Amino acid sequence: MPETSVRTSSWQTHTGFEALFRAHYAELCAYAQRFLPDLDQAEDVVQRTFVKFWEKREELQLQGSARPYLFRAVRNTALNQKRDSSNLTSEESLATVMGSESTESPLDESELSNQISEAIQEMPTVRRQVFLLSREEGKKYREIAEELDISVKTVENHMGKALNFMRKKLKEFLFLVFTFLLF
Amino acid sequence: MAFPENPETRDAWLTAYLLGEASTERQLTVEAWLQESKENQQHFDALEAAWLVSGSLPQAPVNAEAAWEKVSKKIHTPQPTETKVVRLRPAYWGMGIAATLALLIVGVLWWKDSQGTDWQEVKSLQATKNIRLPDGSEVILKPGASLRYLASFEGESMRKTELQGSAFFEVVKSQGQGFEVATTQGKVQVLGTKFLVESAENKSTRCTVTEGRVALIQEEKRLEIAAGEAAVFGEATPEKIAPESLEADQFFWKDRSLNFEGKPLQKVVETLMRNYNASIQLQDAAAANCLVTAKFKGEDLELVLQVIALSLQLEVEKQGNTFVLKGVCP
Repeated sequence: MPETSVRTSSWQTHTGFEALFRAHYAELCAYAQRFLPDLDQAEDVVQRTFVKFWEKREELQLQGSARPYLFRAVRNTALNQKRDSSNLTSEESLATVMGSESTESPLDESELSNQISEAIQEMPTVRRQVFLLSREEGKKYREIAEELDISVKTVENHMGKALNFMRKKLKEFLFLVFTFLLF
Repeated sequence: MAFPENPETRDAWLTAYLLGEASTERQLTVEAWLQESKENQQHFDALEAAWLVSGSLPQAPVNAEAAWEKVSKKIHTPQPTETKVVRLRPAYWGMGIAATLALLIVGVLWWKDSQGTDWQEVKSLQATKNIRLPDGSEVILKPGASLRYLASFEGESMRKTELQGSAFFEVVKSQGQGFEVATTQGKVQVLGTKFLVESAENKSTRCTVTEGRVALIQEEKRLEIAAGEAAVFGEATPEKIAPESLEADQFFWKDRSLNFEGKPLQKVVETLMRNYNASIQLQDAAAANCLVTAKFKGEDLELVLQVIALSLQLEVEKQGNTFVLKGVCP
């Protein structure tokens, strides 16, 4: 289960922002590495993302958790860096943000957690294996393909189906908000 | 390249994009598709949300503390930061700085029986070797040393390492995580600090602290020492040792550090010859008893000799391949 996220208002303060940083830094770096395998580059991207995030914190209208926003921002920054083309930067400047339902009550958290476990269990065997290897172990498609002795294309298809399935199952728990942001 | 019509293929592409598995070509196609309509964007958002919510990614082996320092500096107006690192000032005669104590441990080469599979091992041969541990801590191995450590410190309440030979440690603070160096004779445990552990055959394992505090643990006994102190693993219990007993060239291998405290020039010359592999002579035998107090770091022999000569009112001259110190001290 993802860690409890910092509520919107608190990361506007220095202390809250530091907490946000520490809570998600390592995870974001691991995500950035999917696009930029070099850890130094990945860290650089994540740090720059946080700095920009802080600079724009008043313009941003985020509801609920900042985590999804951070992931998306990191991805965009990483992709832009890879491409090294300013054309694409302006295309990428529209970013949509969504958040999960911010809830304080522990009941909802465990309910979500149950739904997730259920959903994973419901998946056919191979799909579940593929999903877990990706989600929990952060393995790349190629590694998963080798480990399970299937083609990369099959892994790709499984992942697509798995995510779509999760999306449907967790619909009530996902609260979508659209905000235009310049990033 | 056109975006697929088939919804299943579409989801496969979007997921691949999300996970950094899509080729640049596909990325651009996906992005164009996302731009086309709000529904498209919404669908992707939902997939991304489902993925984020369904678990946590593994964490990269990064030093969040150090990274925060960097980021913090960029987002705030510069404020005076208290420097934790004590920099050695340029060598001037008469500068005494807290001595670091070193522990020499006598130990037979051994490997502790450790549980767990993922241990890394690094050895140094003729040259010193630098290691960066998974938590960002740095270790400098003296030639002929080796270090074993857990490949990942995640979830460990104690960051464990095993040392044979000598090494200098710069350990970063990690909340809730201790750091341990195990040797045959005992363990050194720290929080965040800089220290030297020396283990060698036929000697007592020794630990010298440069910064912070460490605890030496032998059997059940525990001794804490702080910056400027040193201790050894004794017969049965860790024992503090006097700073004066530490060698002037204890840290030479690491960064050409030398620390002379009231040492007779004769001894100083011997130390210099040994470490710099040079030939040095005293023209006047009387000079042998002049006392030298000086600290050096990363300097060439020429400079070291110049400084010493100046401080003792001597002269230094190079005759062929030999350095000669002339004169007597006041």
